[in-house]
Amino acid sequence: MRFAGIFSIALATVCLMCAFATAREADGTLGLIQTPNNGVPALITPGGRFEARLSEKATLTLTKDGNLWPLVTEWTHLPGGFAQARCNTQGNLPPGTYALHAVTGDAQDCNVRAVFVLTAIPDSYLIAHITDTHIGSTRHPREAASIMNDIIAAANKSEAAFALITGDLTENGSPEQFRRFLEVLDTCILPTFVVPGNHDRTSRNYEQFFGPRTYVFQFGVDGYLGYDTKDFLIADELGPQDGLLHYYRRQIRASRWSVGFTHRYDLMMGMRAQLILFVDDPLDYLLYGHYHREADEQDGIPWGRTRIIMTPAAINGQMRFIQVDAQGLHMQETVHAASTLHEQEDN
Amino acid sequence: MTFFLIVGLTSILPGQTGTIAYITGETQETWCLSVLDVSTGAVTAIGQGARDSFPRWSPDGTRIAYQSKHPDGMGIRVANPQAGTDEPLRHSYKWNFQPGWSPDGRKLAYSSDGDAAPLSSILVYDLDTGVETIWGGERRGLMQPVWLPTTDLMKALDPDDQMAAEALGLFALKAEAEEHGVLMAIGVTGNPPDIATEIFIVTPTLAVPLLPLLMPDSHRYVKWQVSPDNKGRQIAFESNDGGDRELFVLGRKGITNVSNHPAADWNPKWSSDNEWMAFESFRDGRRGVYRVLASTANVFSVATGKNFDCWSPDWSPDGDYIVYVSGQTGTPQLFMARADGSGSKQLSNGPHPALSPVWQPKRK
Repeated sequence: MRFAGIFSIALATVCLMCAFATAREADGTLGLIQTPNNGVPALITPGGRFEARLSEKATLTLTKDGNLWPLVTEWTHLPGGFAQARCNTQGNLPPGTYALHAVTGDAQDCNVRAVFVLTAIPDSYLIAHITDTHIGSTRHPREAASIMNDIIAAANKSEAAFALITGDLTENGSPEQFRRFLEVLDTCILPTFVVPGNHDRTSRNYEQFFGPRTYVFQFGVDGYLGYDTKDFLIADELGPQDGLLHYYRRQIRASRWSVGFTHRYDLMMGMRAQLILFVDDPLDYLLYGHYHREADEQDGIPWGRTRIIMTPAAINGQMRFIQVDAQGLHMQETVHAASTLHEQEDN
Repeated sequence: MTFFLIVGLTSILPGQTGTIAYITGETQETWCLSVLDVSTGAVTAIGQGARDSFPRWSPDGTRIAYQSKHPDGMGIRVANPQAGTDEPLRHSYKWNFQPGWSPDGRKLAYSSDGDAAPLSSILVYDLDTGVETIWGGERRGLMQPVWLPTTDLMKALDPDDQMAAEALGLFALKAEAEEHGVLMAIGVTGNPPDIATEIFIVTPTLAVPLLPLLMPDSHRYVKWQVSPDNKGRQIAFESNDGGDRELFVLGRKGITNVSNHPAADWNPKWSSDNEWMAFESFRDGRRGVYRVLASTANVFSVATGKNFDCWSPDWSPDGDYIVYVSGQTGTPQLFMARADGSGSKQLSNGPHPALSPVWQPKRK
């Protein structure tokens, strides 16, 4: 017991130091902790479980406001030398936003805004849909990051349960643009789920900053599937994505609403992905951006059942809230949340 | 043209010979056609490294057709690994995909579209003359063309409703197939919000949907991945008939569901003796490689994993081995196993994903 107490104090000290000293790698890319992270967070209720993927086994702790909550973990080896932890939380975990800390013998890491503890998960809720932030773009007089700041501020003022940010996070996918995106993203008090767009595909930078391009999460009775858009010309039908899409689609099959979120829909995208998501077991809804405009009569998924919600671009100062309830997803009018003019001309 | 030895391989496979064409690269932008010598493990990059994909060996095993990006679109190229050549076809349209060799190796079929023709057509390229011809008459929305090795199945098509067959142009189609050869392709049918796909028989001037001749309610289902066997006497295809994606075989005995499982079954690949098909299935959770004896629908596992996927199977020419992609090392790599799944062995271990393997046919 005495040893355990000393260990806990030592761990707490290390973790507190870590909270200030280390978050991701020095260049902003993911380090010891791959997921959850601030682009793919875990949402739980007190006493709930979540899964963490790390480059190696570690001692895991949640922190909030200087307080520590050790996690009880069950480990599984993953291909590529990764380790997956099933993390069990305490029943008295206060609601709020937590950082996830990992400590090994010679390494430590901290992912801020990685775990969100909710008192309860409602059946009726609001989500914020933000897309096409294009950090680094010079298309407007006002800096893209500044425009995104206002968009995030509008989301923060809302009652939204979480935000979906559907690609073209950056203008050309450079590490510097991803780092700038992260700075603004971390001003968001909501959980933020991101997926890449065509502008984010430079090298493997997106994966290095956010991890998986394809993932699934459950929010109460509803299932959400995020994936990288693959249009026909660059269809990743050779690689692992199609298998993951089917695997994850099955996981949310029993959901009240099955909601896909991606950067783009185009009839010429990879056919296998369309069969999985819109034909054999159709998603109820697909949320996307890319086109920087409202949907018109020409837009839609021609296979039948999946309804679309298309939101104009954040780089143009726009976003959307969507009400989710037993009757479905109800998109609200586009919100003009930011000016695209110079800061001094905003008024 | 890029033509160099990248890396010597990890493991040599005693007694195994032949060459496997595949795609590798850090990202899709740099995917490059490469070949791997199974007996020595030597790997050679032979493609353009520009979103190369869809490699297909010529029937005589001397050349590889593949699609590759160029500044104005996507084109089909033909590489000859032994001669060290890699030549582009001259296309009418900007975007050209999914090449398939004619049985005599003198033509290539592929789907094409361009700004002025956004719905894809089937084009056939004569490698002797360099002339590109639209097939399927006026029909658009055709893709994934594959040649029927023979017209045996065409001869066997004898629908009950002869008047309907006449109206659909089946008899004219049979005559044209005998003269020019015949393709099968997937065609988009219907109108939004209820589009579907059908298997079409395609000749130079005609495109006739096949299954409506045999299944009155065929339009209710979405078909994909049509794959004739090596003699052209039976056709495998996918359909969501039955509630999930299944593999069906159309032959002289009719249409049979050979995969029949609540989990999805994809991508049938015939063995050289036309008895077996390798395919992908989710019946054990993750995507795995299986084989089915087409005559009995008995399914056997070849390669599966609890927390990784196996996919893209292809048969060795003698039917003894199956090459496939596995994620078991974290990065997708090529593996091979005996057809019964035993003796699994890693073939590639480069730093980037190795994808879409196709085994060289016996050289003729």
